[in-house]
Amino acid sequence: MEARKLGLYLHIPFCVRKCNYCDFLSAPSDEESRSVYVNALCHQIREAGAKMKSSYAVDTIFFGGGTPSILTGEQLAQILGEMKASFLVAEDAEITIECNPGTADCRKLKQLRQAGFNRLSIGLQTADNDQLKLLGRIHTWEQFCRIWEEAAEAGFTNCSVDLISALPGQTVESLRQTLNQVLTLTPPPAHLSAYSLIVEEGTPFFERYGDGNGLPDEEETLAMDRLIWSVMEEWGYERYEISNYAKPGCASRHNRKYWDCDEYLGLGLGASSYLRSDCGLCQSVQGTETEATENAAVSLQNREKEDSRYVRLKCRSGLTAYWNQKEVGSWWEEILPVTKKEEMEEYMFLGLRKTEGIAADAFEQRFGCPPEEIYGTVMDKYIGLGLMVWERNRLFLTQAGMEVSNQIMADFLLDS
Amino acid sequence: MVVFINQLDQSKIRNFCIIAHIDHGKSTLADRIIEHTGLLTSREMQEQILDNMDLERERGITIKSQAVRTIYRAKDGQEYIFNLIDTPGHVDFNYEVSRSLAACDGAILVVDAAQGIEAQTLANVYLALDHDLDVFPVINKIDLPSAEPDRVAAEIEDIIGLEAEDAPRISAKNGINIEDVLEAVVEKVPAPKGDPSAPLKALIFDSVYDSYKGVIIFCRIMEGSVRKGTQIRMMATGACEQVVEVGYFGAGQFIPCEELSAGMVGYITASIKNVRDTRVGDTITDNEKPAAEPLPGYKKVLPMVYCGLYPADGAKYGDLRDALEKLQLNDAALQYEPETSAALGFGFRCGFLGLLHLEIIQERLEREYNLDLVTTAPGVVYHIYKQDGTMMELTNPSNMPDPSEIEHMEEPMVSAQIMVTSTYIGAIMDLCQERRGVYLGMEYIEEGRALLRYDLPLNEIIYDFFDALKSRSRGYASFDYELKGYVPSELVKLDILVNREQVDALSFIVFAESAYERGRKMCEKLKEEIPRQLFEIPIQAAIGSKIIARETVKAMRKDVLAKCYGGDITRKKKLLEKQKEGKKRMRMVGNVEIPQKAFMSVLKLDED
Repeated sequence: MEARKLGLYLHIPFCVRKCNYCDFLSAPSDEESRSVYVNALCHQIREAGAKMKSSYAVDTIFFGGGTPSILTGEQLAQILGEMKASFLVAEDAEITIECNPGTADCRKLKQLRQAGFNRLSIGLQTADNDQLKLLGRIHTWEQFCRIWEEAAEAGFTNCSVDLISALPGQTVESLRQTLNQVLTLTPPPAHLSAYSLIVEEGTPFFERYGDGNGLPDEEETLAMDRLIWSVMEEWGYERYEISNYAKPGCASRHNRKYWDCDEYLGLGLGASSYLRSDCGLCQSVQGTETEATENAAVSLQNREKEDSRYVRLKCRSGLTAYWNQKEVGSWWEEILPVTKKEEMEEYMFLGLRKTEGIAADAFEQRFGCPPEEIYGTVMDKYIGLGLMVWERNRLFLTQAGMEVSNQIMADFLLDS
Repeated sequence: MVVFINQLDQSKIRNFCIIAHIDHGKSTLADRIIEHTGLLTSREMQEQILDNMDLERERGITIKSQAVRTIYRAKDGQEYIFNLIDTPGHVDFNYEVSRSLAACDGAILVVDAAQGIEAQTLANVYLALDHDLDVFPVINKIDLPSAEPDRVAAEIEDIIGLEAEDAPRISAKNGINIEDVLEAVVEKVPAPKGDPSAPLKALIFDSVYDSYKGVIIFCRIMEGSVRKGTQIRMMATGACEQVVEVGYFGAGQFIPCEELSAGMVGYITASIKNVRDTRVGDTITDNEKPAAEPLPGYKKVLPMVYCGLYPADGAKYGDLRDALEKLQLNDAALQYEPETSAALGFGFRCGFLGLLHLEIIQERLEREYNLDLVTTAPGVVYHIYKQDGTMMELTNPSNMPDPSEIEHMEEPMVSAQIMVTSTYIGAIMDLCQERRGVYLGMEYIEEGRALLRYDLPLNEIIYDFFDALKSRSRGYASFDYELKGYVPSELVKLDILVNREQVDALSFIVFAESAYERGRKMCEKLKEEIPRQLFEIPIQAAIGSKIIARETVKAMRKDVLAKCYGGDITRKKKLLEKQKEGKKRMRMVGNVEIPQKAFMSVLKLDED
């Protein structure tokens, strides 16, 4: 039997200080907890590998956070090594690590490159030092530039930059300035992710900007969005997903798995997985001691009677609980079997994030019927409004459609 | 305590009610009377036992008539039966009030020692005097720091002409001087008269539906007597049944007895299935020995206000129908018939006595029957005289005939009395002017307070007149009204178009001269209520084919791009689900989503 492809996500929930807008699962930490965490993560990797190695080939690995680069080069190499030992990792696998310019240096970057990392995703957010300060970032534009050079020296050729637009006080002009600075870097970035700021509850930004005051208004946000799009196109980048741009051939293979509804395993604190029900991890759920898992197991059994082919799993998000886990069955905080209806909804709203959209034949192959049979009415509605296109057997959002994508995607949820 | 009611003679019965302006302490006094006469200990008392429904307690108003019988051992050493009949306290239920008063021989007038006489006090006193009741005043809340019992006593004498010098001065809340009230009841309320051997004449003053016993009729026996087995007939509705049980009112319970005879207040059950057969005001007689004629004053109450009620979830139409059916068992004044709206689907056009009645029904449907409702703008009943000489009663604006078919239209008017302190006379006169009031006169009832008399179109007061009155007078105005009749009026139907499609459920009838103003405000309000969508939405107000106002809901241009990180798709999905849920609470009209509360917009036009 041919091995199925698998993406691996490793969550490193540590950072130097929490940024003012951040609501990811991460927190400042001491050296000891980091080292305990690395050991627990390696244990988890071994256990998962034991169940899955035979049926999967790993073709992408992504270290996300938090700030993965807060770990030492040795620790990161140890984790990656554990992965290569426990799973079948393809020769040409894309291996990415997120990197905060304030936590890396020449030596660490070299260690990472040597260990096998071949892609860096560097969090810059903005090139304006005042804005960086406002965001609570721990680095300046100048520090970022130094890391950028050192990364190239270390041998990284596939580097991505993260930017955030619609920041407090940001204007279209200051964003244009940031884009110019980033695009004229040497070497130029292979990839760029550009998100709009979301003011999330529970963050310091929410306290300050929760009512929307001080943030760019809808028209400015829209203008920024369009600026990014046009500038990136001008510079030869393809927008392959709502928030992501890449030089030809440099689209993130790992992130694509999310939008293609391909299988991925997330390990580490609070990490999410999307796997086929027969992945080898779900079966071992039965007969475990924890209540949450038992309930999940029951719900799994009940829903398996329906037609769920996939399952979403989420690792425990409390550190102590995470450290103490032993058996595969005790890892999960959530086990949600995905019914065929849900699978279809997700396939649509995630697929529509990609500019290439959804291929009719791929949909039909997966679900046994053409998309228009299920979604004919809503497709007609949005095609009629000029927000969506149905062309050469692909369904995709227009630029205007992407600007209001949530409105459209919500309509692709099916009635129960 | 067991009392053989049959052996008590009429001279030991006192049938009375309490009349008061809202908040002057009517229900509290009723509670004290019940407590002091030993029917219940204060420990057993639930606050304000006569107001049974949660809604009544919350709103501090009485909706259904209630009655309670207690025994009082007076200072003369004799035991008296007190039948206290609690009357509804709102103008919507004026007819029920009048029938409850007709069941009594006397009334206690409660006046707040700090507030003095109010419009409702006057209206109720006149109503009581019209029914030949002996009214005696009680001055309540004497323990308030702002109490001025002497001034209020003088006011009662000056304005109403009731002897008030020796009126009991009490605090119902704190139980001060309640005994004085009880003695006054014995002394001042006349004992009932009526021949127990004459043919039966019993006045129905209320009835409730009980799923076990059927309809329970609340009545006052005027003449004759009734007992188990009597074949009774309702003289107006003609309904005929055999009596199953008669009895009197304990506190919150029905206590059966052998017989009810002239002068008594009690209940009758007779396996009657619907309160429509036992109309308030009707006379019960003995079918085998009928009275020559019924008691005077019966009239069939007709709804004054109509609106459309629709289930928010179309699938709940059947549930709504069942709920209305059940409510109607207990409420003969509630009317409904099925109607269909292009915008709202299947629902009912419902008729109510007034806006309070509407709100009560709406709240009961939502609370007791767990229904989520969409209500269209309430309107009054218009009379349309057509070119062909016929007259139609218009209860739904959508049914308005083409203007070319209409000869003229008439709308209902009310006579209103407004009592207000002099400072606010100007403001209140302005309000009445804006609401097309016809000034009839003003008199000073004491220094600093005046009674204004206006004729007002009912249409202008059903929504928010009371609120406007309160806010413009800082609470120093009170108001009462009665239906006067129909007068010719220039009326037009105002239609609302959303994205160029007419929304039937938003049409309303309006005085021609106010049409532009109302149309403009309506468009502004809808612009606030309708969320931006993916395209621009014009909102227009039109009379016939003529557009008289327009607003535009701009297209949504940008929504936030939700991040997808670490494969946490669940969260993204929750966001989309929330969005979809929001859409579900909307009504699709053409391709526009209209929130349900927008259909009530017309009610809020006078806000701010």
